[in-house]
Amino acid sequence: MRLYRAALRAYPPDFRARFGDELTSAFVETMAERRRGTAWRIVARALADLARHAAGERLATWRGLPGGLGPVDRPRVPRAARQAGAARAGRLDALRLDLRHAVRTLRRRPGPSLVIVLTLALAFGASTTIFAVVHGVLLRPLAFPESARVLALCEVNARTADFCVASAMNVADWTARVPSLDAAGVARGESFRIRLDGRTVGLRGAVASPGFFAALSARPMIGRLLEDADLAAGARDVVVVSHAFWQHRLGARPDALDVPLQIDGRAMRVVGVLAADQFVPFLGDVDVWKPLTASIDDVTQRDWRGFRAIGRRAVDATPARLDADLEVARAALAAAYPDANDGWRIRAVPLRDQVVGPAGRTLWLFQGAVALLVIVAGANVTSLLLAGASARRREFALRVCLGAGRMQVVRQWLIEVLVLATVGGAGGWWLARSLTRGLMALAPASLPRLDEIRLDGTVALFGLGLTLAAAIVLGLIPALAAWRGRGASIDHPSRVTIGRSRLRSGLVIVEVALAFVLLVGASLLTRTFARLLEWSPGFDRDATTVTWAVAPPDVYETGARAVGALEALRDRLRHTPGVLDVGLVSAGPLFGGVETGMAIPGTAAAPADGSGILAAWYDVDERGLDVMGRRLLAGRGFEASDADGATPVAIVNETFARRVFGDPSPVGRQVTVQEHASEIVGVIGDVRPLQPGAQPAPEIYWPIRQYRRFAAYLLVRATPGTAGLDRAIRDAAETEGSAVQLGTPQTYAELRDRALVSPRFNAALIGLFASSALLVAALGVYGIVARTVSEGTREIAVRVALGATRGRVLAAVARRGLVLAVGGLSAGLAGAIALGPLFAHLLYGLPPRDPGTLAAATALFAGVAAIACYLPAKRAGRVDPIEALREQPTAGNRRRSGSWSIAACGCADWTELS
Amino acid sequence: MPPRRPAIDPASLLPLKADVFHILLTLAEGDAHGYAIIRGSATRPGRRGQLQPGAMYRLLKQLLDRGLVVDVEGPASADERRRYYRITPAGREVARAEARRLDELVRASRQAALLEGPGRGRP
Repeated sequence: MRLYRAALRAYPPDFRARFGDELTSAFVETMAERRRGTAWRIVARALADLARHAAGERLATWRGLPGGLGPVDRPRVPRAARQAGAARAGRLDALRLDLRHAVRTLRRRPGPSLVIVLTLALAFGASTTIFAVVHGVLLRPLAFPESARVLALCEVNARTADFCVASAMNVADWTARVPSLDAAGVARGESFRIRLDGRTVGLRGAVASPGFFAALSARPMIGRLLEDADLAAGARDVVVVSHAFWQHRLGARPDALDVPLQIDGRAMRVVGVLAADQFVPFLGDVDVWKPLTASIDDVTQRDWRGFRAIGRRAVDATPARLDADLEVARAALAAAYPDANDGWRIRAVPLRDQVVGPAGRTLWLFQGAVALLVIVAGANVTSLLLAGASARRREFALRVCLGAGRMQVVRQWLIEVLVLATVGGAGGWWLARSLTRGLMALAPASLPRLDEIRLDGTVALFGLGLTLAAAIVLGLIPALAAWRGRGASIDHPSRVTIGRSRLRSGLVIVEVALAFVLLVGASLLTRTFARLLEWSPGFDRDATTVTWAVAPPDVYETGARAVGALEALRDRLRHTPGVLDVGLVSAGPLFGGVETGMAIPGTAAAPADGSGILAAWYDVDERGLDVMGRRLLAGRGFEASDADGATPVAIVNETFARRVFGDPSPVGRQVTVQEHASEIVGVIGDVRPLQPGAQPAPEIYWPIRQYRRFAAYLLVRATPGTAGLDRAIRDAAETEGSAVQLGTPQTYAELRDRALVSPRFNAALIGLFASSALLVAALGVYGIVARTVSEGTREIAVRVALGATRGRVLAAVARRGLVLAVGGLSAGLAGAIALGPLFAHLLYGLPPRDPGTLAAATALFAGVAAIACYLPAKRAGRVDPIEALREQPTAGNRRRSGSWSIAACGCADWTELS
Repeated sequence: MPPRRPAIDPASLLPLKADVFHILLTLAEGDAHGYAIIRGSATRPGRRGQLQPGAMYRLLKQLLDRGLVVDVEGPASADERRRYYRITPAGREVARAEARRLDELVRASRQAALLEGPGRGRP
């Protein structure tokens, strides 16, 4: 809309005043009637339409001619007007002439033109691609109505750090008490077992309050969504299903509402199907939604904050107003329920920020990397253009002498650059299309909103803007340089000295410096990736299989019976051939969620504000820690006798011991975590988490027989290469009398590979930028040295004739490139050291200013720069003084210096003219 | 330099551009606002696709400038931001001349047996 209004400026002002509003409203109506997904096609067509007719209208005004109504309409025009029109038309013809001349000139020098176009295409393509990702993930609003007003409502506590949680009871009270909230609701993921066509399958499900859908403005495709009436005691046997569930499990039946479902042993009725394109944050792909009160847990416990809450701000309320209202409600609820609410604050975060989370920082970093690449490419192109300009001074001087205005010369020049930029931009768009596709195939699934990335109108506009900006900036610098070339005259060919063109040298230094910064970033991420590959959880990765096992509560009823069933399964597996050891754990490195406990009161290390220390807690059987390869540092491991009724015991890791007790061996001391008091009987070693930027957290382990749950991970360590292990695990679970349900067995190696998708993606992406930048910068250095040689051939010849040795000539020429490279490297080193901390959150086991990495990058870059200097310098060493001095600086050394040497190529223009 | 003629000789404007004829044709059926003209173009026989707004308003401006069309107050019920356009007698004259020209062409086509239907077919 804003874009369209801006585009209207292309019309002459009086036309705009007359029809601008009407054109806009016609556009708005066309947009309103569009079919889904055709928006950007409409925008493109409308802009093309405007461009064509605005140009026509301007032309008509300019020529002083009224537009024609008929195809052959040539109205009679006063002669004066016709002459004025002819003058203007002459200008147009000149424009066309300039354009044709530009294309011809560029085609005459295919080498440099091609390099410029390719460099620009590379830079435009990379930046457009990353912009598409940044735009899709970070900038575009979430895909539901008025998403800017939708907020994640988080209850936070000094102890839970940034976890975004909420209590269902509190959220219900906010909905009633806070006038600036239109709607608010909670949801929580639960897994259900559903009986369909005689088979029982596990499903991703969730419980939700009606307000959750209302806040999202979610729409049903069939039937209705959850309503307040569904929360009442007698009405909880209704479910809303996802579009995918309806399609795949219910056969897309139009009468889906009548299908009876058995969920967790209860008959349930489908009341609605969620529309296909509905966006539901946080919970992933949920198949079945039950009313909140149908949860197997008691949701009326106010201090249970296991929910995600979403709210919709009222249209007339400002964010500040909402915060103030929430604060009032919070204070009232804290006073009414001090046990549940003491110390908790409310934070309302725009849903988009909450959904994108930490991925945002990484993406902005990549956008920065792309900006560096664009600058490097731009500097190189400018440098090439400058060379062309200086070589063509004579041509320009001649044109001025023949009566061309300076403006005309500059315009001619700008048009040449515009042609180059346009071709580069088109190439960049083509590249961006393939890159975007490749990137989305490679991108980690954890990248939020991955499916929303596409090349749309905004991205196209970005690419177009970039191209035009580049053309103007790139064109103006050399054009101004040429403008100043007043002193050049026709009879003095460009004076050749080795120290000329400080601007070009400066550009090369900038290129080298920025490319070096990128190279350091790429080296850091690549080394991070290598280190992550070496990560060891403490046991043989390839021989250990992880399987999620659930003992359904409706079958086993008590925790003790559930644990008994899981242990029986474990014992059966232990006797399978090839199996070395089996353990049960609630979670471990790379699998299972982590339950983060509350503060540990009464300990020396607890800070004064009562925030305490956040500890992750797990429950394991007596073999679990051994199978996970955890080293026992002090005390003992768990035993079968650590059961219900015996003294509650716990094992902690090193970090826990150090942080909570300040004592590496706190065996025998008491600790209370999560209201679960126990005596510490052992200390185990830390395992570094496989996650960039993460440090080992305090951990506490309880015996599975004292802290009972209905599910656990089955860890099976087997002789490598044992065949049929998955089958054996499944058979053990399907034995007579066992109702334990299993997830898909996965080896540890598979888990690790999945965890590494993100670092691999980061390393690959920045590696791509860095190698492009390195290449471009190397070309820059090469180009400047090659030019020194080709422009200075006569001078070199004179020196050789006067007795300079080949080695000295070579050194003198190469020195020039090396000085620039060293200057650039020093600046780049300083830049890399300054920018390093931005990378810290992506690194694993490496400081952002890692000296080894910096040294390696410097060495690599120095090597590349040396080659870039040596190749052209070698040619200087081979200059034959007699031949070179006999020849004029014409076609002869043009051939010798190769297509790279634009200076020589440019000479062709004036030698032909003179 | 010939003096500007107060009234337009319809013949001097023929043949009309197809889009111009379409605009006049729509307005001959009754006053309409710009978007209605655009919408009408999508269903008019003999047209391929909808008239684009940029093209339409440019032609409309020329019609207004030549006095073939005037803008008028919309009906009382209409959205008041919208301007309505009405064909003038001169505009009607031009449209009629074009229609006549087309009609003659059609008749000529029939005579040349390019088209079937009433008319003087070949003896």
